[in-house]
Amino acid sequence: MSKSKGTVWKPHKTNEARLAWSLVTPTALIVFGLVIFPAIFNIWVSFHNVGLHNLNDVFHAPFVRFENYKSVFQDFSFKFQSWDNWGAAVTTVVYAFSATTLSTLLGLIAALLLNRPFRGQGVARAIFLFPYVAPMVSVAFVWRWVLDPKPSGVLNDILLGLNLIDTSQAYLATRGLSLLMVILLDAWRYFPFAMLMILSRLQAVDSMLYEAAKVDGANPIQQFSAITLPELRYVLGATFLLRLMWTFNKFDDIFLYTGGGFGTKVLSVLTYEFSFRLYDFGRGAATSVIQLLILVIFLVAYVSLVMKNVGEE
Amino acid sequence: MKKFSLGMVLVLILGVVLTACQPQDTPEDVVDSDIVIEFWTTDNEEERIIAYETLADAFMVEHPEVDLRIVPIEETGIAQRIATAQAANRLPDIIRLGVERVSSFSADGILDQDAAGATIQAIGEDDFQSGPLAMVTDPATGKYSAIPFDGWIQALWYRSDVFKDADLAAPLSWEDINAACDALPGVGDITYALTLGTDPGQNYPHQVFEQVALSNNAWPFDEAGNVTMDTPEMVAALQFYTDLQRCALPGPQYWRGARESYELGQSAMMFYSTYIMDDLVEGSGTEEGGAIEIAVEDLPANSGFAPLMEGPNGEATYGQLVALGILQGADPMAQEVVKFFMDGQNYLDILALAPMGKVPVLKSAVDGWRELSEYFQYYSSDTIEQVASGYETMQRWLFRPDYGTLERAVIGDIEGRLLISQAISNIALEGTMTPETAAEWLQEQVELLVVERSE
Amino acid sequence: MKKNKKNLIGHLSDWLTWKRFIFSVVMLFFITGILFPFYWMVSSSFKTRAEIGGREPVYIPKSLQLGAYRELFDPSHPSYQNFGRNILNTLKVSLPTSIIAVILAILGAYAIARLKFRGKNLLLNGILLVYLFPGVLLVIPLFAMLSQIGDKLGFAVQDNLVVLILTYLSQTLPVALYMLTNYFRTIPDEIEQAALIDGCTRLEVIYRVTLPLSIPAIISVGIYTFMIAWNEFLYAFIFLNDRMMFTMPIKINTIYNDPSPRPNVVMAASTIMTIPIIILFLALEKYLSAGLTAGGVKG
Repeated sequence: MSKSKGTVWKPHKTNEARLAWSLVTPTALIVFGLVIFPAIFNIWVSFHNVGLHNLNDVFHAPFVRFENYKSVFQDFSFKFQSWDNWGAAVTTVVYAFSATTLSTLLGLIAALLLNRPFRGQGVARAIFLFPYVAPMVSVAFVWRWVLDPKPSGVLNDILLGLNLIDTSQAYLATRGLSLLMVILLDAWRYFPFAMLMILSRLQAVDSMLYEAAKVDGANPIQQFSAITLPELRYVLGATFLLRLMWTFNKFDDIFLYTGGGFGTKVLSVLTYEFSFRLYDFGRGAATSVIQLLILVIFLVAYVSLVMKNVGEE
Repeated sequence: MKKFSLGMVLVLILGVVLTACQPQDTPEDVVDSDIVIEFWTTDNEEERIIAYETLADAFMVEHPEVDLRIVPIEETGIAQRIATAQAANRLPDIIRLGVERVSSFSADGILDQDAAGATIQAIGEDDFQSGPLAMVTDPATGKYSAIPFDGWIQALWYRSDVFKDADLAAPLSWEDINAACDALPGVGDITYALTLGTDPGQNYPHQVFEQVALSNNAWPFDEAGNVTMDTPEMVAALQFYTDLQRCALPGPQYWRGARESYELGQSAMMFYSTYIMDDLVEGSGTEEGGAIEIAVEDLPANSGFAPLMEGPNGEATYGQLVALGILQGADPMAQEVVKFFMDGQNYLDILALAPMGKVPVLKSAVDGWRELSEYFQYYSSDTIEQVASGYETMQRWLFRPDYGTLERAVIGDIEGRLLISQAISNIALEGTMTPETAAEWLQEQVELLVVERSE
Repeated sequence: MKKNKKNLIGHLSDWLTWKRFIFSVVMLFFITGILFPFYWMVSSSFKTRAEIGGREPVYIPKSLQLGAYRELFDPSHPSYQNFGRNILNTLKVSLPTSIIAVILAILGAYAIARLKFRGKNLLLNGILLVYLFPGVLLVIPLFAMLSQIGDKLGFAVQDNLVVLILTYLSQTLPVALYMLTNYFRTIPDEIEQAALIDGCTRLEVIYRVTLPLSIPAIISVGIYTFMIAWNEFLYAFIFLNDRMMFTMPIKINTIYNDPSPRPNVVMAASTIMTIPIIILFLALEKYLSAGLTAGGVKG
């Protein structure tokens, strides 16, 4: 049938293609115009010496080849120095992977919770979205307040009252602890995204499968691993990938929580520092290109290893 | 159907473009006959903006062809906004900024030195106090980089009532401060002796530390231009400063924490500029008084003022000079604007916004300034004198006479990259560095900065 | 008789199984963890300064102080913030963004889902690649680029809400396109084919057949893009200089950085900014799940 359709409908196919392109063009224009061009420009800047003095005349900036990249790799904030000082590159990778894993896990649990109907399910579903939809600025200020290092900070007050800690802690200002906090806060904020993705897939799983399994005598855990997990493989993989990308590039969150201090300096924050504190835009651009390359490497590895196994549905 | 969708898309684009070009009530490139002057000010509290705008309106009455726009910006946002403005080739005409930025911006070539010089001449070079003029002189060209505007002194404010109760001497020297640190927590309502600047993301620690370093004669460069961040004097200064954390508020702190804990009666000392003086009075004693709520009765009367710190190797006062910079490419009318804002009563109107925090740079304004605030009476006349003559006594790493453009630019970079703040945080909060290792690290980093600036 | 005379404990022990117990505990954990910060935000907006900065945290304010809200809205307050202006600006940016994004995404998604043309899969998957580039990387080059164009075409880039809308579109269109394409693919196209054979043009088909069947997904996409534009910080921060043009997040940041700290005002402004979005999601929640669920039906 398709063959005959092919020969009969040929003229329409070209028309169809043209229509399709006209429908897609505005979107493509906006997205690629406002993203790809600046990105390419950014790569260009990374190979030149651009500072405040020539920022308005960038095209005449001196070409410095890999100087910027060299100075980034040698910078004290970038490279791994010791177990006390991981450097921005390692910190970013650790942060991105941990936060994404945790938020996907939480999203899975939340989705499982909300899957079966119960009283108040609708309201619960909506409440679970709050952390994701609230403005980052507000969320950051509230959490900074709650995590205040003084004994009058909320978390300190609670934990001290429960006798779980001896002295008040500086949650966002202790090396190691602050990275953990930022990861937890990231999971708190973004788990609803994973939850939505997983939930929509869960709702489509045939309940007959569970019935059959129950008849066969499977307990809930067995049901989960034999039925639920396989059905979710693809969406888990895709969600993880998407969130990994977004978390890797995150700037606002960490900047508002810690400003990049105490072991939470990730590559985006370092880019900001080079560009706006040192006015060395070449180095800032180089840092962001390095960030991009690391991400691309992970992406390629991930897609070819993990996604291929899971398979397209 | 193709035409329809194409048409729809075109309409959309047309709509977008039309709205973009339409005069909204946003500031835009207006009629040709108007000269637009953009004045960026870091005086961004509401009352202050209103004062600026009132003056702007008065200026526009005298000069109807000028559209003078006051744009308030946050101090922390200057770096970003200047960068984006420069990238778009849309620098403002006038900007109010601190003197350390004057050095680095003029090294970057975005300040118009000729315009600055002309304006200073127009106002009257002799009317300026000599200190401020020296601070804005570019050592390389000998010209003025910006027009001094106002400024403040930093001091160690302390609760004189608590000090009396604890039988402590005023915290003027390192020994006194250490004694206070050990004795104060627990006296009365005091929990912490002070709030130390330790936030690695703020420049407040750098500003406070500089005074400590200066009081010990610790400088970043010596006469020959070598980097001297790892001298014993610098190490001692780092040691003294970070040891104070033992009696200070936990966690990374900057001026906000210092001020809050002092006003709420939790701490007995704070390093703060004279800006605080008006606020200490305004909110004093009332529940919802003004914008500040103070928890301590009669705070100004009970606040001692110690601007001069005595260290083992010297003594120093730290302060800030705020200047108005005219940027490259600004309309010549900008010079008129600056002159207008510093003229007679206009200048006093600006100073009146925070008389203690805005010390006049013009000799002719000092007498009028003394009358500006009824709050002056709450403080001793000694204090007032110290404040008024602050420019003559204040010291900064930047102002050492034998430092050239390179040194000054690097000092600007040290502050810009917050190296000192990070070092202090590492020592005092994290314990990952000692004063010795921190000094070595600073030495290394500053040498790198010198290399970069030399290229 | 025994059946009808069970007391509370009896009922409870009947109802309580391990499953339900775990469920309740985990649910409680989630709900508390989610709601507490929001409770803190709202309650703090009603606190006095002393309650905020005291030695112990105050969990329940003694009374509802409206001082913070007055500062935001009352022109007679000494440091009146004119927050209403900022609310308006945010609306002016979010509504057009979501409407335009929905329209463009519908058109594009229909094309990719239904029409045959070369490069469509590349387009669909490739468009998500734009998320590889973080805002921090793009913002300066974008600003510089747009300023050059603006100079030539005669429009200002700074303080221009339309330009901001365009940047938001570039951030939201990829996901919008992806979501809608997946959804359209789940709609059986027999009805559309029938309509086409009946003589409808493609656009009429979209309007009469596809859209009514996709209301949940469209609403989802609309809400989602609205939220992104509503909350966006970085671009607004860079592109907007004039206080009068600030969107809410920027204004909140400004109030936070004000030399005289007023945390209750920050919380009040945050509350005002958060509530509409939350209400929006609460009200349209069922569309959200329906919209995403159907995308899951086929895979």
